[in-house]
Amino acid sequence: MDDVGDAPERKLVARVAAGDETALSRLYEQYGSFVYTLALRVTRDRGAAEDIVQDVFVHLWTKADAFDSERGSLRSWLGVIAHRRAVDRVRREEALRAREERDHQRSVDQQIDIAESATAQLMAARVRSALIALPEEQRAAIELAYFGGKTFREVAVVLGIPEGTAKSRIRLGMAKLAEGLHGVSS
Amino acid sequence: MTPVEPDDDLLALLAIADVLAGEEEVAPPLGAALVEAALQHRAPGPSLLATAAAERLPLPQVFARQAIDLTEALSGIGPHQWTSPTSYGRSVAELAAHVTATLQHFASLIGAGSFEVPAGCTSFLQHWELTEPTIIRLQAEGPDAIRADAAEIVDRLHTALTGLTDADWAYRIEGVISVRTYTEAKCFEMWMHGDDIRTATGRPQLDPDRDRMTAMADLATRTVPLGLALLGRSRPGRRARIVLTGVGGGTFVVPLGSDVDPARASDVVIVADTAEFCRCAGLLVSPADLTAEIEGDRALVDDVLAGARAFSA
Repeated sequence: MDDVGDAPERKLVARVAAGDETALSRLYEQYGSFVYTLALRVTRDRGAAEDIVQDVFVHLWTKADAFDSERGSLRSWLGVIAHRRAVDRVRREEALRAREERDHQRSVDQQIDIAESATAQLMAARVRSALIALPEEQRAAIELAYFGGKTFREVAVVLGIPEGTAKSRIRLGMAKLAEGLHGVSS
Repeated sequence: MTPVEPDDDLLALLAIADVLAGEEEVAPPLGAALVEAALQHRAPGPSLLATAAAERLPLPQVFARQAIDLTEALSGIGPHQWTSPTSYGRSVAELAAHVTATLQHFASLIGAGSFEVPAGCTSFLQHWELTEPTIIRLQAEGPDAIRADAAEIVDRLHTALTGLTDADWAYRIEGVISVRTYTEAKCFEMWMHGDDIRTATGRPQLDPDRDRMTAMADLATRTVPLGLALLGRSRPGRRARIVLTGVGGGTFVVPLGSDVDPARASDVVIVADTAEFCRCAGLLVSPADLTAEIEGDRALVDDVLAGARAFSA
């Protein structure tokens, strides 16, 4: 039987696969700094790098049987896993930042729309109130011209009055409306 | 995870090379917390290469598969090989007759047939003595009789085992060993004697499949404390960690006697291949020839292996 001090990595991985958590500790002692340094280089964030170290060694603990020493060293295997997770993390955070910026801009735009809509509704209510307060003949002329899309001549024809009278009624009615809406922002 | 682009691994390797090229490594402040976090995902002990406890084969199926291997071992014996010596110091014919007889005796213990117990035999522990008359009879009758008796008893036993209730499995033979453990021991014995016969007749040894190897490794390690007690070699307060690598293995923390402090670290760690450790327990590999890594108190290794081998003697 052989005594062993520092077991080769392959044997330690076999022990990890066999459920020996002391072998996992030993591999962490050997490769933890390497994985952390690599993760830190990619993420430039200590907290993120610590998370990645934990992820990588959890992966080693739960998937040790996937390591094939014929295909490369354990250091390379752990390094590739760490690098992938670090890149994934950076990409996710960049995507999150981009999404947050889009969401923020959308929120600002929505707030402007909401404010404008509220103002417009208030204005419309005041205009209706002011219209109702007008004399009947002036209101009828304005409604035909501004809400019915009629020309002065067409308003005159509909109301059965001269064109000049139609213009006069519309002009007087608009003046009274302006007076009634004085103080509301245009 | 984001799908890996073909260039991602190349970038990873370049980054690794950079780090290895001289960048000073920074130690992460994780320590024992990392191992604790890992253990939340997978408990220590069971091997990734063994059958999970919840998926273990029913014991009658383990027996059936082992019986197939034994029958195959017997069928491959050449006409002039029956007198070849085995590692037990008995001929192939004697060993084949012995394993047949021990199964016939087992069947009688669970009411699946009769067996004439030789005079002077009072316990199942008189393992070879119980089978001597049958060995003599079957040798005289010849290879065909040995094969026929073996085929008949494995079939009869499988039928009987399939019909056992939970209470039957728990029943203690001679108040000592449960039918369940005894069945596992017979499966182990069939493997060992079958391999011994293969080796004696120029054929390679045969490892059981993962399901069976898991059961065999569990038995070989589980019985160490009892084996030590039977040999009078218990080590109170001491504990061994047996790490069996490869298919069917696992990490087994085994008390070597009474009064073991649960918080105590293992006094000795033995790391070995699962099949080889089992063959050592089955007397096919000597302790001196076992390839194993040892950490801790080497003086306990002989005790551990003696305990594992106690039931194969």
